[in-house]
Amino acid sequence: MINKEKIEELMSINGQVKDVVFQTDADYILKKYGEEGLAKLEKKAEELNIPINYKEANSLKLCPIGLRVLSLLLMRDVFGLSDSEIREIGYSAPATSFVVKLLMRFLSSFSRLAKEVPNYWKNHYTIGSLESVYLNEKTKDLIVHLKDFKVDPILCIYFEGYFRRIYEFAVGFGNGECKETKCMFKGAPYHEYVFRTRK
Amino acid sequence: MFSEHANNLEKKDTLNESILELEAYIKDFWRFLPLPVYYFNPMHIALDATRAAEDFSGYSEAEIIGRDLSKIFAESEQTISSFKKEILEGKHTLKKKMIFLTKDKRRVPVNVFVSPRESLNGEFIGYFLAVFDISAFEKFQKELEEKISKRTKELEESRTALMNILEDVEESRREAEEERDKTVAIVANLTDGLFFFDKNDILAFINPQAEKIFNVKKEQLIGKDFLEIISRQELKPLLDALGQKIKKVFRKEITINENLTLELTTVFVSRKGEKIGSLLILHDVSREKLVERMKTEFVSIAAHQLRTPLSAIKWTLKMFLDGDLGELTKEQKEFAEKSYISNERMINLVNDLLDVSRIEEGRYLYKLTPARMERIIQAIINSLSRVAKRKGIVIDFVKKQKSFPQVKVDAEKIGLVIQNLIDNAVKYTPEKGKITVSLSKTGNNLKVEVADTGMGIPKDQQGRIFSKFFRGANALKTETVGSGLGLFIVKNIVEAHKGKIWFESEEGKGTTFFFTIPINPEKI
Repeated sequence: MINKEKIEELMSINGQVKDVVFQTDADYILKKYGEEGLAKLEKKAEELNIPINYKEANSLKLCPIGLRVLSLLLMRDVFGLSDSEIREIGYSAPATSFVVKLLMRFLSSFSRLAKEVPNYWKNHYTIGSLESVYLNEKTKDLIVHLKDFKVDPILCIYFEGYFRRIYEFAVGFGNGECKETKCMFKGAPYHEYVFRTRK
Repeated sequence: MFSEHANNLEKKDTLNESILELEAYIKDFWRFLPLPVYYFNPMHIALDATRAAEDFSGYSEAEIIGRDLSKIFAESEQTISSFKKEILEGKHTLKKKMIFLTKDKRRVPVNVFVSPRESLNGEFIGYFLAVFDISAFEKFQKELEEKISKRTKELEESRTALMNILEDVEESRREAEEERDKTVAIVANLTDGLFFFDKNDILAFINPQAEKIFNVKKEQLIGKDFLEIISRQELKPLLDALGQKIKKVFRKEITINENLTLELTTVFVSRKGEKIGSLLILHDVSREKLVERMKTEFVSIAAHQLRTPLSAIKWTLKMFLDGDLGELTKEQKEFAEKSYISNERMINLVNDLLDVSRIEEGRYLYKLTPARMERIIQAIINSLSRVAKRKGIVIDFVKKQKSFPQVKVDAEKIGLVIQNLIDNAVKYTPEKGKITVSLSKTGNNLKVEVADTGMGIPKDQQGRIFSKFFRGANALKTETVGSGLGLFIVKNIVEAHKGKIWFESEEGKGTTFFFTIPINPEKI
């Protein structure tokens, strides 16, 4: 449950993310629960004094990273979402993100994806870094490490979906799998995500 | 420093606004575009799709984004692989016909248009792919093809039917040709000579026999006019027989030379009542003529040979009957008289046969001299009146004019004509009957009539009355004596004088014979 302490804790974290995340969240809610669902979400945010404006989110503005986490927590609380659904929100986000589409235009090969991963992260987040640590062009296996980014475990689940979709821009829709194999919340020095194509 | 920072922030805000507006513009445009259009990155992964693409495919935007090109179409892996290769190699718009696969598994024929994109530094950064539903067109084309196929089939059937008709026509033509060849062969091998003139009297056909008869070649005659043809010396006999134009003749005798006699018959050929030409048929009667001549010669010789002994018998019997060889008993005299009468009949028959021979040899008329017909008639009546009187028959002589012109005749032969006619009338008229002989002048002719009140000639035998050796059935019953040559001789004598002879008869009532003799015959 979100409470005042949690809000304060999250809002105190340094770092920003592109405001567009609220737009992708809103798209998911609209598709799944309609306008009524979005209104319900906005009302809850208002009740908790969480300053998220879903309708005016844009691709270029930055917002506190804590606010991004709060949006996910709000959705989970309001709609009782499971981890799987949180992953689904992550999975659907790149498909509706203008910025992602712009970046993916240059994706000419699998190795290019690995190369673009750090840039991609920098374009969206002001804290942490994302690196490709393993790449197999033939099998399309990929391992990335997310470092210096210990915000909230819900993002670990969200990223499993989000990264998978990004990965699928290189291997094809529905063809990818992504699993967090190491997590800073479980004592690891970084988050490790392993990508494989579905056999 | 502060103002520079503020200035930079302001510039950044303006740029951000422009980018956002551009993003909104692009989104709006993609939503509006009524054509299914996709944007694929260089790895053939869909990054964008118009609302129309969502509607057309049945997939949502989220389901489309990230989809590989191969999942859009229902094409084989090899085709897609080749298509991807073409896209990557191509610099220009590519057009291809493919099968689009919708979410509900419908396979839609589409034309695919691909337009590659490059970044500012010339790097290939993906391509637009638009699909154009051609199912309606394909359906129309299929229907059109079916219609064309159906029509082609109909045309082929018509062609087959036409070919059958043509075959039938060809068959009929062949049959007609065969028939024609047969006819030509028959006509060519016909022993009669044939000329066929068309309706304009142009010679259209001549058979080999006609060529042979007149010693001409068809190449010289075909296509020429009748007059031109008969003007040729070889064909002069035709001119003599027909004159200047083709007229109807039946079995007209033509003598080509001593050994060749023909009978000419003309037939006007018509079809559906319209004259299409004239056929000249030349039948060779030379052999018949020869046989006839030989027969006549035989009869002539036989008659001559018979006449001498018959004359000797006649005079011997006469001497017996006159008592020059001594008196005969009554019985002997009766036998001698019967023999004398029979001998007389025999002499008459031989004379008749000789006359016939002479007639057929064309040497019957000797002495053409001016004569008075009424006197010839009167003399004959006088000579026969005794015989007629014995039967109680009266012979009247009616002269319808007061006077008659002289005629140039062989008086003896004309006398024979009148004698034969009156003799027949006496023979076949019962007792107490009447015979009327009339003489009249009609035009340039003298007309003689011999009318009796006799048995008449049966209707069915009237056509043969002037034939040699013919005697009416009723005549044979009542009068056994008679050669059947009398009327044949009569007719030949009259016609030799350019006259005509005919009769009217009713069985049981009587017969009237008529003949005419021209007063001034041109040539006898």
